[in-house]
Amino acid sequence: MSCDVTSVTLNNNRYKMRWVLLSIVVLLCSTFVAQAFEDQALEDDDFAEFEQFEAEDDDLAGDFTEEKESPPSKQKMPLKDQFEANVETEDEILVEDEDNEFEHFQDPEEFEGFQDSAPRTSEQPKITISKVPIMIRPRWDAYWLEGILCCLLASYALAYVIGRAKNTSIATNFLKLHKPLLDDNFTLVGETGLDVVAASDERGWRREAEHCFTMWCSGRLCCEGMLLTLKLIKRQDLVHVLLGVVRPSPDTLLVRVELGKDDSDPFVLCVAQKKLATKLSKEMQDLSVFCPERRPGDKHGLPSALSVMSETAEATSAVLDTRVCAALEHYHQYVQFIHISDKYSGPKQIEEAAVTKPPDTEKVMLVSLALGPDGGGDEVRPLLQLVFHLMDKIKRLRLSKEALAKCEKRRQKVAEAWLRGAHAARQEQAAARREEKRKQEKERILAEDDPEKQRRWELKEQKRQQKRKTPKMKQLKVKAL
Amino acid sequence: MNDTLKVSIICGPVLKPQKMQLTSDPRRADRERRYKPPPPTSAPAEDLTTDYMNILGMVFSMCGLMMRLKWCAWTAVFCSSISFANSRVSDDTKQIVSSFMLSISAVVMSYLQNPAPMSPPWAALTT
Repeated sequence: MSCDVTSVTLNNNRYKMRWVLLSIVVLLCSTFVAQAFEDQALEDDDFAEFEQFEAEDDDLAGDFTEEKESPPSKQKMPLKDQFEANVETEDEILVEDEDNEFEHFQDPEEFEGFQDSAPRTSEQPKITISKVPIMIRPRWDAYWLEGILCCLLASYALAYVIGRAKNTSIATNFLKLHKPLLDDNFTLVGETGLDVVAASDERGWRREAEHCFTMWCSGRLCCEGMLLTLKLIKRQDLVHVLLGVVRPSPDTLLVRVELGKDDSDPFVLCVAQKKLATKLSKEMQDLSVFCPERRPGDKHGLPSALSVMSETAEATSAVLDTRVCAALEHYHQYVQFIHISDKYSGPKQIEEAAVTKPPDTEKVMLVSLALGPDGGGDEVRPLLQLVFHLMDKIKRLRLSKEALAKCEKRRQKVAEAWLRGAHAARQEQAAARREEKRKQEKERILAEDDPEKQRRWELKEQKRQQKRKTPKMKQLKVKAL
Repeated sequence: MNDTLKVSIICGPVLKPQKMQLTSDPRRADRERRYKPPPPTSAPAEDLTTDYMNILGMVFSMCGLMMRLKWCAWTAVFCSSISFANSRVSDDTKQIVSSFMLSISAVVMSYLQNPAPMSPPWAALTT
């Protein structure tokens, strides 16, 4: 029992000890933390050091009344008694040192005229600070040029939207007016698809650009097909609209009729506005080759505004019959040109492009019509009918034997000229290739370090040159009698 | 009235093919051909405005970016707008978009570097 009691008291003592130990540890920790915090504060503040010393000075002021003149940093030292005497002597030495070091500042003769030139005044110099206006919001009115440019961009975008809509409406209006006529003549008119401009879900124009629409019609007598290209004014482009004010140009409809192999005799004929005729005769390959002569329209019963370029008079008189002449007389202001050709190859090619190969030719009839204001109206209908009439006419037209022979002969000549030109061009190309090859060989030989080889090559080259210079002659072997 | 009568007399046969069509229909389904685009050599002269404007726009944007000329950057924006308006459906849209992006970035960059407003060309003459 006594044993139990002692164990209980021991346990109680242990608990008490633990509490005491714990409280001591906590106290120590708190003091350490406080110390650390104080140090941190001292490190952060540069002047805290001095404040601390001042505080200490206040405490120790009573003890060191005789050393009041010494700097405060030195006053910390005498706290410890064993170094007191040493500190006093050191201070004296230090003071003496300072006196020696900065003695020249006290010397009035050290700086000449220092006191005289810059007399010290008790008043501070007056500094005037002018008020600067503070810019809180940017001055938007300074950006007026940018504003104008942005307005221009906006107006361009607006003109684009309006012009595009206008061009589309012209195209649909054209379909509304003339699709029945086309449907009467062709089994296939226009196409369906995504980018198709039509009144409703019908076949219609294919949009090539915002101002260019094409429509393919096929399935008719006397032709393989007809491609209508509606080239409108670039109403979507404000720059072109403004240029149009200065130099107006009309909306045009280009009709390209592809004639079949047996749909026409071989001849070239062109009726065009005078100005355009000069341009065409210069630019077009077939016109420049087959129709060198340009005659005024009066001689063929046409208005004087038109010019006629024809390969054979027979074809001219046959095509430009009274009906065609009458139609052209009435609508000549809308007709830019009518170009019938069996050797159409477009504008002249640049000389270097394809000299060796004659250009691909087609049998076509091209009719360019200038449409009236806002895409034309009813005046287009008789002109389309004129195109159909010409198609039928060309199919029926048969040249006389003599005229046909002449035309064929002319074509043959042109083909021969092409062949000759092609042959010459090929020879030229071959010579150029040979020369290039020889040059490369020469470079190769010269690059080698074998003088014997070089000498041999030079001899060979010399021989070849001599052979080239001597005129070619046939050697006649004369039999010895 | 008189005029139209005259026209109808002169162009009578031309203007009345529908009457002829009633008697003989020119349509032939067997002659129907698929559309074949005309060869590029025979096509009428192509419109090169898009290409020219594209190149000009690119040149102006580069000038705007490199030399920090604001008017160059603005001109580039206008050039690419004209190029877009004149473009064909078959043209490469990527090229037009990239031209637009380049010109707009030229404007943005020039104002980021120097937010001062643009001075008109005659300002240098007057001062």
